[in-house]
Amino acid sequence: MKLDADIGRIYDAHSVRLYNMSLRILGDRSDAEEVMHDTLLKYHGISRKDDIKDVSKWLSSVCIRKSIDRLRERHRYKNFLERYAEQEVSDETSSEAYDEQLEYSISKIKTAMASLPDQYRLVLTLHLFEGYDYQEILQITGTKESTVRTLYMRGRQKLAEMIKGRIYG
Amino acid sequence: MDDLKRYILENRAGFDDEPVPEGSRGRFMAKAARTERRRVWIWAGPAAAAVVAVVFAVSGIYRGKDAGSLEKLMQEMARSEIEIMVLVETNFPQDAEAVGNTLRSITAEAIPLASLLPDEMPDEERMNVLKDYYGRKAEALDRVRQYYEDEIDKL
Repeated sequence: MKLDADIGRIYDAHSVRLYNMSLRILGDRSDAEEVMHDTLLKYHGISRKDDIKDVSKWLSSVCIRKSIDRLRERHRYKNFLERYAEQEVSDETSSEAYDEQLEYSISKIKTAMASLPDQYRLVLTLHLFEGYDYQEILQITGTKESTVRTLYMRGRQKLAEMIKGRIYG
Repeated sequence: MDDLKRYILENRAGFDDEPVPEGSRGRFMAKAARTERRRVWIWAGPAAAAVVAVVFAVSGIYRGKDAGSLEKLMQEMARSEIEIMVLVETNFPQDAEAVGNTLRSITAEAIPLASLLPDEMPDEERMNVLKDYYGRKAEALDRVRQYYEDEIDKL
């Protein structure tokens, strides 16, 4: 059946990448699977697919937006990024860790990312993994540049601490 | 570029190696099939309703002055049926088949009532009978819709 073949091809080509992308933002396998499904279904439902020049990029953009929407639902309030950024810097993070020479590994980074609070993980994912700059992140998240910068710096410090094994969760 | 960002870029593939959950492809294909059915409903539903209403209005089955309001009621019922299906497919896909059967049992007519009414029945009385009959069906659809809207509020 043509429908099955078309939709199956889209799934096979993009599902793993989109799933991993959403999983990094949401930190929840079930939510990430749903977002990946919804993203691919949205693409499948578009009648004028030829208008999309870069399918991979388009899917990434939709997947990120849907993941952020899911985060907002999870937190049940709209401006969760701002609220988080307004909190005092925790004593457990120190600025020196950010600059230290760290020994990275994929598993260490993945574990540390998964342990970060949602708001930090979101901003770090967009910047470090998806290559968005601050301006793009504030457009995607609909928040202020200062908030994005604050979240990035604090998240980056926490990540460094976790990679060093100083703090957990 | 800081060391971490460079490291991630150089090892990008290693960060995308989490396999999708088992059975994900099957669940996705099922969702796609449901979405496709819904699309057909949305596209075909109003068209079918319009055809029914037009046939109903112009075929001489009912010729009274209030034919327009009855036609409108029929169209609203058809639209309501589609909206309920979309609501259920989206939020309670496990109920979709049962709800589909329920809606069909409410709206389906092997022989339209209008064609069974005697020709000599006065227009006003004919209209009252039809309005009462289809009005009850519309109420039943509203009850189904209300039930699922309440369920959504509980989510």
